[in-house]
Amino acid sequence: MKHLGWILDLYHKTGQMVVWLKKPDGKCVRLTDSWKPRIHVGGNYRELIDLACKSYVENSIFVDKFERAGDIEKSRVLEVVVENDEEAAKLARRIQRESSYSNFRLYDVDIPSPQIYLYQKDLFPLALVEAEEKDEKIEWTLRDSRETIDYKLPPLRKIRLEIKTRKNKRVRTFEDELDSLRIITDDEETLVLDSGSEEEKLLSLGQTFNEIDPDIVITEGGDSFIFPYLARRAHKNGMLNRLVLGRDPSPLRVYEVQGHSYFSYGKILYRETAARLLGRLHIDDHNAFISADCGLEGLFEISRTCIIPIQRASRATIGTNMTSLQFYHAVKKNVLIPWNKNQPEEWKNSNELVIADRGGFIHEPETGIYDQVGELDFTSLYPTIMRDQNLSGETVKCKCCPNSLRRVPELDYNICDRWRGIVPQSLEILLDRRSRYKQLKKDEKDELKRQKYDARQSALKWILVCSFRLPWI
Amino acid sequence: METRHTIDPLQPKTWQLDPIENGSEGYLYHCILCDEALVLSKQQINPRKIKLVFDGTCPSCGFELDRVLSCRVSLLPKGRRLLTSLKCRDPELLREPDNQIEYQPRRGSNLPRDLQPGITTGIDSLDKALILKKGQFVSLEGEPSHALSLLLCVRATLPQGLDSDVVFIDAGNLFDTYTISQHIVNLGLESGRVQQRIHLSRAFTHHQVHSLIVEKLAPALDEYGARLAVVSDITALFCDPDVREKKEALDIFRKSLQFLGKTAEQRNMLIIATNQKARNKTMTDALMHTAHVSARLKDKGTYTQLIIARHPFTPQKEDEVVTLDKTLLGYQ
Repeated sequence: MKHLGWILDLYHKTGQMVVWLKKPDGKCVRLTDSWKPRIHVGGNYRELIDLACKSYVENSIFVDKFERAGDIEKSRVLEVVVENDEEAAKLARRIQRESSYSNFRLYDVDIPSPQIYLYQKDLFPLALVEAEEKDEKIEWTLRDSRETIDYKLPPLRKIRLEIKTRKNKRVRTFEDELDSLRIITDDEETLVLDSGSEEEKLLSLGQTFNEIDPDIVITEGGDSFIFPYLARRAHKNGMLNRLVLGRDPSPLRVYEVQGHSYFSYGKILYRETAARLLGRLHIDDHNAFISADCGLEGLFEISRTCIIPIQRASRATIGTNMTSLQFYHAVKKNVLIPWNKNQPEEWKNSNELVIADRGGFIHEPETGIYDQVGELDFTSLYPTIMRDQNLSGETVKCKCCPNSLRRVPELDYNICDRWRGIVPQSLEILLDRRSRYKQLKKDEKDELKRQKYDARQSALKWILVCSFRLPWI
Repeated sequence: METRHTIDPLQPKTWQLDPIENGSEGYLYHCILCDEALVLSKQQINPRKIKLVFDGTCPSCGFELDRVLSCRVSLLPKGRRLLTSLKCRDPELLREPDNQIEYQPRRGSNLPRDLQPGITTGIDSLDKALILKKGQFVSLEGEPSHALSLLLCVRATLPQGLDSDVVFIDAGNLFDTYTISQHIVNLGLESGRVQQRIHLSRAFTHHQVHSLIVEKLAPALDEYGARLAVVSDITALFCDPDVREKKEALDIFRKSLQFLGKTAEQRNMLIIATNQKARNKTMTDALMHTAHVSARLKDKGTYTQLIIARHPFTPQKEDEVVTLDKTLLGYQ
């Protein structure tokens, strides 16, 4: 059977990738493709064969891949099929532990499987595709292009969900009883669910979701409170199995996994665990970055361009989105992606450190008061230099072109002539699209369209800000 | 010394195998479809290994070995242990690896007992207590330890020092070229020449520290001929709050320490690991017990105190305390 539609959401369930297509008639269809993630293991060939004979390493074959970006030859590595992402991490840890952390190099372990699936199949979120179901597999035909800037998006039904609890204390807690639920639809219609017992309210929430069948659910604090709270209340009422809010017929999960704090640029930040509604898009305005600044237009642009599922893109940092784009190019070039950030920088001597590490050149002006001062603003200065000069972790001081004519000023490091770097390759599409959107915005008279182009170009600008090197180097 | 048995060729088909009378019992792996003889071995071999060595298919009929590989008891010619099909691309892979004797680090007390330091700091009382020599893995704990390591980096390049290049693994993001320059000026050395002899790489994750130690250190030592290596603030990244797999971090840390200890001994070189502060008791204990020399440095405002907690030349007794007459920074 064939289906035409836009890829709305996708996730992995043991042994298969579930993809939700939004069809032109507004309906959604759930497709399943028999597919499993794979991890790769590099090391001494004899030791790899011994590893492949271990009882815990099933379903493995040898394949040839580049272990490092920029390598001249491919290496023979072991490819192991795993059931899911958790299994991949578990197996990788076991291999490391049992080899005393020294014999093997592990790759492709921690990349979310929906992303790898999209890279491998040359698809992207919100791409218009034709899907043909054959046995347990799906054959995809792309009717869209990541390069196009005038793409068509499906009409998406949005709702906003709010809840009110009967607070017992000053701060609302999971123990408070549910007071009411408010659903505000696209056409500003407000539905209030406040009658009956708590169980009835929760059940009518599920029914309302079923009837309205929203594609996008927007909340304020859906990750941190609303959905974990609803799941907890449903559990308390013994009806968790009947609280289905996604399109997938699985009930709302209780989120026991805590979010995590991390340190970034001098700040301690906290990231909530994402509450995902399978088959719909949950956007939490309190846990969103791109959409908070550039709206849904910006979010969809990033999701398509960086090949990252929409719900993940909305919560991800700009760095994670950029990383996804670099992963895509690595996968396409048959370059393996190391597990953990374990590749250190190259050795340099103390003199080189002083020259290489001082950052950009700052020309100090002579102190005084001047008039008739002009200002020059370079468009995407650093990314443009990186793209034009082929600057990437693997291209600077490459082993294959020591006499390359392209050199780093002052340090005289050679830059590869043979290999197009993953960073400059990733930057091409971002720079190109951004400059085209800026031009469109300039030429466009329609204010709504101008806003759309502006949102898209600002989202791309955010991504370009963090284009400094390969995430694993 | 054990002699290595050769791998002999096997006749192509099972029915072509020579009849053997006084052979020893072994195992014949063959294709049940075309009778291709693949491997005849004294020891049983994991069939998965045979499939991988033959790229998953029978070299004769091309069918998947998953379906057609079989094994039966057979006799081997006397004195032979492994025969393989001529079509086997890499028969060596089927042979059991020789038991390699793993290098066991010497106990610190077995190190050459010579109280003359191999490298000095220029601070007499400190040199007499620390007695730094090639072949040692030294752990220095406390904030002043970093200043001491930078001083040693410069002095290692002196002819009366180790007269060698230095490899510096910056695991604490602490390397300071300005302090290095200051030491160079104080010692009246040529700045460019000395700076070129100090080679560093910075780590930003504990996996990078491990990779620098176990994978990158040895090639760098070879390339630069370095006799001194420094790892700055070795526990910092392993104890980073962002590290989620604490057990794995500890295992990797221990592995890195063992590698440093072995490298110092095998290469007869000096390796110094500094640790700005005791962040994790298990790691601190592991560091102290793996290092040949273990000392703590404490800044006491107007002077620095050195406490030798473990030294191969010092009999086991209470910590030996040495007080320097000014702070370590004052010696610059």
